[in-house]
Amino acid sequence: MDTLAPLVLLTPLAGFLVNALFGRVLPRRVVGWIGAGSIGLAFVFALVALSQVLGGQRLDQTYFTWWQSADFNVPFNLYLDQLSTLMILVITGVGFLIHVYSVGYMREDPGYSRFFAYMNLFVFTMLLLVLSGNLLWLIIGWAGVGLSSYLLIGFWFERTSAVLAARKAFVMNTIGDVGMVFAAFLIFLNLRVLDYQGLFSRVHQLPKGGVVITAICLLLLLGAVAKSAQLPLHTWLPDAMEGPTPVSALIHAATMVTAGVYLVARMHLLYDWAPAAAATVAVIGGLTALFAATIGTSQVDIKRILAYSTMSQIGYMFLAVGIGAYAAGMFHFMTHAFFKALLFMAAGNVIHAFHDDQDIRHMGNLRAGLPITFWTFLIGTLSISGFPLFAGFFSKDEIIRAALSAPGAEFWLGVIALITAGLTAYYMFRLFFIAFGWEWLSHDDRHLHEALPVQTVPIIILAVGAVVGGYVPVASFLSPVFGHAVEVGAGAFIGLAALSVLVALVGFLTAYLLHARRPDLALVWRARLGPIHTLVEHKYYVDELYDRVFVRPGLALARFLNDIVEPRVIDGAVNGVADFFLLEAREFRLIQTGRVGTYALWTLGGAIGVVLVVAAFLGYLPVRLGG
Amino acid sequence: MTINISGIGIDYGAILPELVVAGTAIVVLFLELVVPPDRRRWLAAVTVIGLLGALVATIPLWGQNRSAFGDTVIADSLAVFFNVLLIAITIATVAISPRYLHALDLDYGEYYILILGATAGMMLLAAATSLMTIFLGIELLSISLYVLSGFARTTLRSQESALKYLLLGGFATGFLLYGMALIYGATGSTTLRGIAAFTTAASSNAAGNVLLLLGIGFLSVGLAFKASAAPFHMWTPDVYEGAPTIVTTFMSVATKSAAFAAVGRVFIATFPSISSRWYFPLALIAIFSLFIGNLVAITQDNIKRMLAYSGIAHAGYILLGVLPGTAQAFSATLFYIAAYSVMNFGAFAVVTAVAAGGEQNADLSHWRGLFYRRPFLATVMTIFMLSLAGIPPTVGFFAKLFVFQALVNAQIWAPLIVAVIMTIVSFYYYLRVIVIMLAAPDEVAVEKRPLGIPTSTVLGVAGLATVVLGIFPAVVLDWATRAASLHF
Amino acid sequence: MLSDYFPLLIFLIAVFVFGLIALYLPPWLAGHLDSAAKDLPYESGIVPRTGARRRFAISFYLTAMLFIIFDIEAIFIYPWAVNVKGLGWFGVAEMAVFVAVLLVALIYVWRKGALEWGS
Repeated sequence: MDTLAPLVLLTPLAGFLVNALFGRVLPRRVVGWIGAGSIGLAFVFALVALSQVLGGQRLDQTYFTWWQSADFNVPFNLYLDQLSTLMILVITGVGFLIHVYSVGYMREDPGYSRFFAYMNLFVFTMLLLVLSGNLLWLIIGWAGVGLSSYLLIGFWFERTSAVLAARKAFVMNTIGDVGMVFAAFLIFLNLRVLDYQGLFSRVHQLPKGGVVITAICLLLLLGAVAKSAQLPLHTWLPDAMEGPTPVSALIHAATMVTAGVYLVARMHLLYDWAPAAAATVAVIGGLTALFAATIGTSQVDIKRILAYSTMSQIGYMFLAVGIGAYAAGMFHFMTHAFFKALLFMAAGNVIHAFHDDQDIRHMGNLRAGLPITFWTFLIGTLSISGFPLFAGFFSKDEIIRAALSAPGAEFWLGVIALITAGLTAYYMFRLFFIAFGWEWLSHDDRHLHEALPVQTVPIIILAVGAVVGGYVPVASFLSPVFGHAVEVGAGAFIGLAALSVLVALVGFLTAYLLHARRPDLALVWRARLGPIHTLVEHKYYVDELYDRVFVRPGLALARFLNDIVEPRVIDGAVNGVADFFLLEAREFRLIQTGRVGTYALWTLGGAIGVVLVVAAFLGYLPVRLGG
Repeated sequence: MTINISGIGIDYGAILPELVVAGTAIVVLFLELVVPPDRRRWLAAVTVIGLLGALVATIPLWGQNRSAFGDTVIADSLAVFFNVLLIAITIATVAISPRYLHALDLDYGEYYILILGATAGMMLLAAATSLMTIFLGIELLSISLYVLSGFARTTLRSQESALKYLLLGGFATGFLLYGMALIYGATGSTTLRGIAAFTTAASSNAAGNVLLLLGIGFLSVGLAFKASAAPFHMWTPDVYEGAPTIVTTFMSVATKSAAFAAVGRVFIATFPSISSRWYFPLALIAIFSLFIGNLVAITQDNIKRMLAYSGIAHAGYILLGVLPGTAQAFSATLFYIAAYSVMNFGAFAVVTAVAAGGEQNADLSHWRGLFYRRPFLATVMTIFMLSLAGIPPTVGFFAKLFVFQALVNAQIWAPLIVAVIMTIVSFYYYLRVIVIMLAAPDEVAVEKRPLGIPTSTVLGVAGLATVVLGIFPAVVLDWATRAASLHF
Repeated sequence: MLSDYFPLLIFLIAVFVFGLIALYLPPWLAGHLDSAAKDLPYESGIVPRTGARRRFAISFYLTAMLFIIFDIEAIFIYPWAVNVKGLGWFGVAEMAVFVAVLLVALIYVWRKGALEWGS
C-alpha cells in the first residue's frame, strides 16, 4: 500500500517527463502509447489499491519531510482512504479512456507530443491534489491542475480566442487559489497543523460555527467555486471549450472541475463545524444548477451546451455536499464523469465529422453517418436527463431526495433541483434532436464518416458505465469516511423517484414537441418570450456585467495608476531609492582604483579597524564594547 | 594504519584524500613530459580519475573523528563535507577546461597540476586543526592560484591580475602569520585543541588577553582576505577579471569554501568561550561585505567583475551564519556554501562558455540577446541568476532562508536587517543580466558553436541541482547539520 | 601584564638611540670635506662607466630560484640524517618518497629546458 500510492502518482509523471523531454524525437505511435499507457498503468495500480482498500486498509504515510522550521512542518504524505480511492479510480480510469480517444482525435495535430505531455502532467497534478495528505501539497496540486488546464485551453495558441480563454480561466482560478492559500494560513495560525490527520483531530478545538472556522471554510469555498466554475466565478468554463475536445472531456467535465466537490467532501469535518459555510455551499450549488441549466436551453454551440450542463451538474454536487449528503455528491461525481466524458467525446466525433463546425443547427443525418456515436450519445443523454435505470437517475435522485427530505430551508433547494432536472432533460434532448437530426429533419444526404475504432471503443465503454454506474454501491463504500446516510422510507422513496421521472418526462416531451415534432412552435415561443430569451441567450449578461464592474473600472484604475500614480509617486519613490543606491554605488566604485598600493592601504585600514575594536573591548578607548 | 613515532601518531588514512590528490599532481607532472602536446586532454582524464579516487578515499571518513599527526589534522564529517564539495567543484572545472583552454591556446599540462595543487591545499585547510596546517593549506592553495591567475601568459590583464594577487596575498599572509604568532605567544600552543584548552581554562582570563585578541583579529584579517570579505576584498574584482575565466570559476567557489571551513574550525570550535569578543569584528566584516558587494555590483558592466562583487556579498551572507557561534547555525553556513558553490560555479561556467570566443565577451554588452543566440546557456544562466538573488524555487532561496532563520533564532538583528535590505538591492544586478539576455539582439546571428558534452553536462547538472535542491533542500541540509557538529 | 614588556621598551629605545649616535656622531666629530671624487663608488680604482642597475638575463633568476628550491629541500635531509637510526626503515621509506618527488621535479625542470642557458 505504501509503495502503491506513489506508483499511482509517479507513472503519469514519468509519462509526462518522457513525452516532454523526448516527445519531439519519438515516433508518434510511441508518444501515444506512452501517454495513454502511463495512465493505464496508473489505473491498474489504482485497481490494486482499491482491492486493498476494500480489504480494510488505508494509508497515511509520510515519505519525506519537505521542510521543517520550528513547528512549521511540511511532510510529503499521501492519504489514501475510500474517498481518494474513488477519486483516483475515476481520474485514471476515465482519464485512460480519454487518452486512448485522444490518440485518434489528435492524430493530425502537429503538437501531438506536447498534447500528451500536458495531459499526463494534468493527470499527475490531479492525482497529487487527491492523494496529498496535507493542505500544502493539496494547494500545489491545485495550482498544478490550474497550470495544466491553462496550458491545454491555450493549446492552440495561435488562436487569439484560445489564448484569451486560457488567460481568463487562469485569472479566475487564481482568485480561488488565493482563497485556498489564505485558508491554509488561517488553519496554521489557529491550529498549528497542515496535515489532514492533525487538522481533523484538532478542528474541534475551534468554537463551533465561530468566525475562524467559518472564515476558513468560506475561503476554501472560494477556491472550490473558482475551480468548479460555480457562481459567481463560472464565466471561464464555457470559454474553456476553446481547448481540444478531449481536454474538455477530461479536465472541464470529468475531473478537474469536480475538485471543488472533492475539497468540500475531504474537509467535511470542517464544514460540519461551520454550518453557515455549509449552507453557503448548498445555496451556491442550487443556484448554479438552475442558472446554468437555463442558459443551456438557449445555446447553439454543442460544446458550450455541454459546458453549461457541466456547471449545472456540478451545482448538484455542491448542493449535495452542502447539505451534508457527501456520499450522494461523490456518487453523482462518478456517474457524471462517465456520461459527461462520453457526451464530450461523442461531441468531438461529431465536430470532426463536420470539419470543426460546432453549431448544432448545421448538423444532422448522424444516425446514418455516425451510428456508434449516435447511439452512445443517446445513452449519455438519457443518463444525464435522469431516465430510470440509467446511472444519472440514481445519483441525481439521491441528491434531490436528500434535499427534499431535509428539514428546513433545504427543501426549497430540493425544489430548485427538481426544476433543474426538468430543464436538463429539455436542453439535452433539444441538443439531441437538433444536432443528431430526427429523420424528417435530415433532408440532407451529406456523406459522413464514423470515427476510428480507437475513438469509438472508449465511448462504448463509457456508455456501459453510464448505464450500469448507478448500481455501484458508492454510498456504502464511502460510509467509513462519511458515516451512513439517513434511510428513507420505501413509500417516500418511490414517491420521490416517480416525481423526478415525471419532471424528466416533461422536459423530454417539451423538447420533442418544440424541436422534433413542431419546430415552428419553437420559433413562436421564442418570439413570445422575447426579452427573457434574449437575457438567457446572452448568459444573463454576466460577462458584460463583470466587464462593466470589474474589468473596465480595473482598466481605468490601471490607466490612472499607470499615467498618474506610477510615474509621479511610485517611480518617484522607487527611482529615488534606486538612484540613491546607484549614486552610492558609483561613489563606492571609486575605491577600486586599480592600484595595488591603494588596495594594500585598505587592507591595512581594515586591520587597524580590527585593532581598534580589540582595543575598545579591552577598555583602552573611550568607547566600550561588550562586557 | 597508524605508526607511532616519539608520541606522534602518523595516520596516513586520515589524510588519504589529500595524498591522492597530491599524488595525482605528481603523476600528471610526469605525464606532461611524456604526452605529446595534441593529446593533452588525456591529462584532464587522468586528473579526473585521480579526483574520483580521492572521492572514494574520503567517503569512509564520514562520521569519524580521527585526529592525526599530533592534532594537526582531523578526519571528520566536516572535512568530508568539504572534501566532497571541493572534489566535485574540481572535477567539474577540469571537465569544462580542455575546450576553453584549447580555444585560448592555453592547453598546457601545468594547468592541471596547479589545479590539483590548489585542491590539495584547500582540502588540507578544511581538515586542518593546527595553526601550522592552516597556514600550510592556505599557502599551498594561494601559490597555486597566483600562478593560475597569470596562466594566460601573453595577456597583459592576466599578468596584472597575478601580480596584484601575489602582492596583496603576501601582504595578507603577513597579517595571518603575525596573528598566528601572537596566538601562539598568548596560549603557548599551535594546535586548536591546545588553544581551546587555554581559552576555556578559568585562570587564563582569555577574554582580556591582549595578545590573544590581537592575534584573533589579525587571523580574521588573513582569513577574510582569502574569503574576499570586505574591506579585505580589494583584490577580488581585478583578479577575477584578469584571470582566465576558467580559473576565476574555480577559485571563486573553491577558495571561498575552504576559507570558511577554517573560519568554522577556528571561531566556532576553538573560541566559543570568548565569542563575545570575535562576534563584533566578524559582524562588521559581514555587514561591510554585504554593503560593498551588493552596492558596487550594480555599476559593473563586466560580468566577471559583477560576479566578483556578488561573491563579496555572498561572503557576507556566509559569514552571517557563523555569527551565532553555534553548530546549528553553522549548518546553515554549510548549506549556504554548498548552494553558493553550485550556483556560482554554474554562473561562471556559463561565462566561461561564452568567453571561449574571447575574453572580451565578458563585457555585458556582448550578452545582449543571448537568449536568441544560445538559448541553453541563457536559460541555465537565468536559473543561476535567480538562485543567486535568492528567488524560490531555487537553492539560493533556501540558503538565505536558513541563514536568516539562524540569525532570528539567535536574536541577531542589525546584521539581519542589513542583509535583507541588501538582498533587495541585489535583485537589481542579478535581474539585469536576465533582462539583457532577453533584449532583442542587434543582429540575428545564431551562433553554432557547440558546447561539447562535458560542458553541457556540467551546466545541465548544475542547473538541475539548483532547482531540485530548491524544491527538496532537506537532503543537503541533513548532511550539513551532521557535518556541522565540530570536533577537534 | 603589559608591564612585563617594559624592559623590552627600554631596549627598543636604547637601540634607537644607539643607532642615531652611530650615524651622526662620527661625521660631527670628524668634520667633512666635499669633493667630486668622494661621490664615486670606489674612491680609488676603476671609474664606473655605466649605472649600477644593470639588467640580468632572465635565465639567471630561473636558475637561482631552482637552486634555492632544491637547496632548501636538501637542507631538510640534515635533521633527518641525525635521527635516521631512531626513525628506522619507516624513516628511510619516507625520505625515499621525498627524494623521489624531488627527482620527478628535477626531471620536469630538466626536460622543460629550464637548465639550458640561453638558446
